Amino acid sequence: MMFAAPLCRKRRSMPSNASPADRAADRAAADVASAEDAAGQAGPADAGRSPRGSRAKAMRFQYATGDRPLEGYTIKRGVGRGGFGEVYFATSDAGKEVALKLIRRNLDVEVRGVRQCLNLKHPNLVALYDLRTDSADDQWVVMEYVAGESLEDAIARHPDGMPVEEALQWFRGVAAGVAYLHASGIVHRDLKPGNIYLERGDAPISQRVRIGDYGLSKFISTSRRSGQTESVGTVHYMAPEIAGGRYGREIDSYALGVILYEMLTGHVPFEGESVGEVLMKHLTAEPNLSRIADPYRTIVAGALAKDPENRLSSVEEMVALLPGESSPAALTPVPPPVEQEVWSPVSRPPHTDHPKPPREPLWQYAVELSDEARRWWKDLPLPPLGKGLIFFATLAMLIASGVLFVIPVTIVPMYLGWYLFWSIFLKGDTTPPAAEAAPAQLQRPKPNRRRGPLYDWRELARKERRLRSRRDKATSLTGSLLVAALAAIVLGAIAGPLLAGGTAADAMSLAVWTAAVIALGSWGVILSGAVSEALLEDHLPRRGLNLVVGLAAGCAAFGLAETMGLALPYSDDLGVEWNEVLLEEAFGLDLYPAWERGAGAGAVPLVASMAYFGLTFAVIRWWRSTDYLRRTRNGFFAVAATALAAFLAGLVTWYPQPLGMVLLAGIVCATQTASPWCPPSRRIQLARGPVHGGLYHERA
Amino acid sequence: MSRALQDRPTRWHRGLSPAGEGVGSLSWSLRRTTIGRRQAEEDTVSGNADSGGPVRHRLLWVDGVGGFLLMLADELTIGQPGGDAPPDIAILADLSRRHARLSRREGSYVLTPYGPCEIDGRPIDGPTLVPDDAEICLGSVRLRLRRPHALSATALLSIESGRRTAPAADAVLLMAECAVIGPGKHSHICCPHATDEAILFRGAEGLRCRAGGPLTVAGRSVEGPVVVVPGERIEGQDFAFCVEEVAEV
Repeated sequence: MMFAAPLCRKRRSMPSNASPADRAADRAAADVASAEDAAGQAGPADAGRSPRGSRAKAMRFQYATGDRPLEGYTIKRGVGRGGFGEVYFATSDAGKEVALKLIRRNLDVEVRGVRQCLNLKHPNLVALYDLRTDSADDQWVVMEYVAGESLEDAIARHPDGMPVEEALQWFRGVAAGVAYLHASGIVHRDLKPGNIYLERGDAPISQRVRIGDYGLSKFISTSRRSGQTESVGTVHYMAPEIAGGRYGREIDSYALGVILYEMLTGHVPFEGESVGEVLMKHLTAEPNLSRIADPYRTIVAGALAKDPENRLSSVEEMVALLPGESSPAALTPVPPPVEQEVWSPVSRPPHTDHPKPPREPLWQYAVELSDEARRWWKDLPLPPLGKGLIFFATLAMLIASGVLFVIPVTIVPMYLGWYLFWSIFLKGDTTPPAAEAAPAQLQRPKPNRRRGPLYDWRELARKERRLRSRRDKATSLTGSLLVAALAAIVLGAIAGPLLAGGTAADAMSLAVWTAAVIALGSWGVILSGAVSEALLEDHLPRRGLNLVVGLAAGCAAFGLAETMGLALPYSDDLGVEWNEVLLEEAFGLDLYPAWERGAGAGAVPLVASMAYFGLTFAVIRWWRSTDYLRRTRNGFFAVAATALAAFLAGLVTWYPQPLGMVLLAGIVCATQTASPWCPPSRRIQLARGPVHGGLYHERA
Repeated sequence: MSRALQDRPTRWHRGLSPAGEGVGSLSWSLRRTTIGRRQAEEDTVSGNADSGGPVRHRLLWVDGVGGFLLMLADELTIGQPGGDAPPDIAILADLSRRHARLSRREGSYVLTPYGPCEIDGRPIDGPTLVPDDAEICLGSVRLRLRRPHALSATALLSIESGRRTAPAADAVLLMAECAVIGPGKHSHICCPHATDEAILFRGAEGLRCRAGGPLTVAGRSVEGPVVVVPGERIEGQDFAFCVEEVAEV
């Protein structure tokens, strides 16, 4: 009494988890006069408990507690509604608990079906005891009462799929019952979770599973197909060939596949707003099997094949594919029929299996690079406002300096030429590594996989790189050079106007010169890196090689500046006076004095240029920037260290600063951007196991 | 006789008094009424408050949901059926005749073991408070006691290990002041197909029922709370139930 007031409040009008399909069914049920045919939730147990079977009208029963419509049985309560009428829980006069199913429409068809099944005996079937006629000439099926929940309830308890062990137990029980039915020459035709019940008890689930509503199903199936009073709950388990009037045992296999799918994922494979949509999906759509792991994926895929000829046609086959099944023969006393067709496993929908046409490697590389850049930008630890500012500043700079227009003009013709070359000469014998890529994809470690022994991924990565084919090496190198040139253009365009500001130097030609020097320098570094990676191991010969590259770069820088008649800008703010360097200070030497050309700009003699570049190239360990296994792709530290080294080198052999620092930092930057780099995912993959695949794969 | 003393239920309610007025006193008097009637019945049959004649059970049959043993007393013995003094909750299992006693005291449940008992896996040897959603093991029988509604002391005792009660029911409803039959999770008897709640509560003439919508009792439409007469079906908008009184077999 004291609690009655707060408890007695208005409830929501519908259970929240009723699907739109249910609501549609409700409307249909309300419209159609023979409303009792609409409700599809049948059986001796509490099918009405499940949300999907929720129908407001469904729980009205003709007989009340204590009624005795059938001699010898007292009705206790209504249980649910079958395809024909009501199901009651009743006790006999002696106290035997039974389920009574009232068959309203006195048709010969279903009565014959029940007679056929009356003496079937299997632990996984709801036992039929008798078929009786009452005084009003209604037929009653007297059958076993199963006290526990239905599979529908069990699935509803696990919205994301039930534990695999539990699902397996259910499935084995259902499969055993269906196998027995098939062996007895009977097709269930109406398998669905609402028809499958679980007896209470301590025994394993598979021994307690009971399949109900068999023997009544032919009529159900045909009537559901023809009328608007179709039960939506059943359409989810209907095989596509039912539309064509085929009712082989394959439709039970199909329904079993749907049930297994639903148990493992919590959803039926084909959901829709209307009956028609669901039916259409059954006919045409491929199920999404990504949430199901093998071997269940194979079973579901085999059971859900559209063509009954290709389907896993016998239940024994499905059970034999289950893990841990020792003796499939134990399921059924009858040996499996011999006329089974050979079944070829369908591991995934056929339309996803087409190999991709080969992609042009440079384009592929650019795509990967842009992907990486996007990821890097996304992971950049900056607030969105800061990112936005940087983005717009960069964009404005690119537009203002004209790079945005220079790149397409220069790159597109170059790329078109290369593409023609590639498609004519190289494309033909490039076989796509589809077969190799697929297993690599399958082997992708799952997040919760136990970690195995870790391998020396450095060793593996180096080996992998060594074992690349010559073409792969050449392609990669060409790509790197191209990217380095691009990066150099961008850097030059940014640095040129900045450096030229307030001096006599011409901004445009300075930008071009800077870009050219950076490009040449990074090319030299990349090429020498490629050579030293293959041939040299000690750092002295590497430094020697770099010295040569540096001398060449200095030479080129001088030559270009002279050809363009360019004055190089310099700033006196950096603590170094014009031509005032250690050599002169300490030793009174002035080997190669620079000469001035206008305000804040000058020219550097060939010797000075070569000395500066040679020194920096020999001092800095440039091969680190091309290293495939460097820590980060673009290291800030490497750029900073190079700039510092460039400044210090300027103390020894004079070069206009900060131009020299910018040039060398730019070279490092461009080199790192262009050099291939082993991504962390690949490192993890290599460390987990010596698998080959991905960008570089072993060729026999 | 010492056993009879031990079982005397008044001991548990000594602290409660019909103090105050209104709902509290009404509730108290209602509780006294129901307990009193039950004792009177026992007295009439055998002349002894403790050893019983035919124990009468109430079964609540809810269409589409299940059958429930309706227990109104605050003190219930659990054990094996049969003998001169059958327990209030008889379970067909390998138990002693009086295996344990479940009592409701000020809204919580206390289990007093007479045989081997466990609560949530811990063996108990004296009166122990049963928490909500606890698993009670009496020998090999696993029971679960749930109190779905926070405002009501009513609990649902279900057998999880597949044993049957006598008379057979899906669960035992230990009803305090009231019980909710409805679609929500907090309902004591959960029927998802229903859209409205019905409340069973103790009234002056025994059990009564009220619901948000109109009720139909034995074919007649009735407004407001109705008296639950055993054997008469009570229908709401989308639920129907019936209370049946059975003599112990």
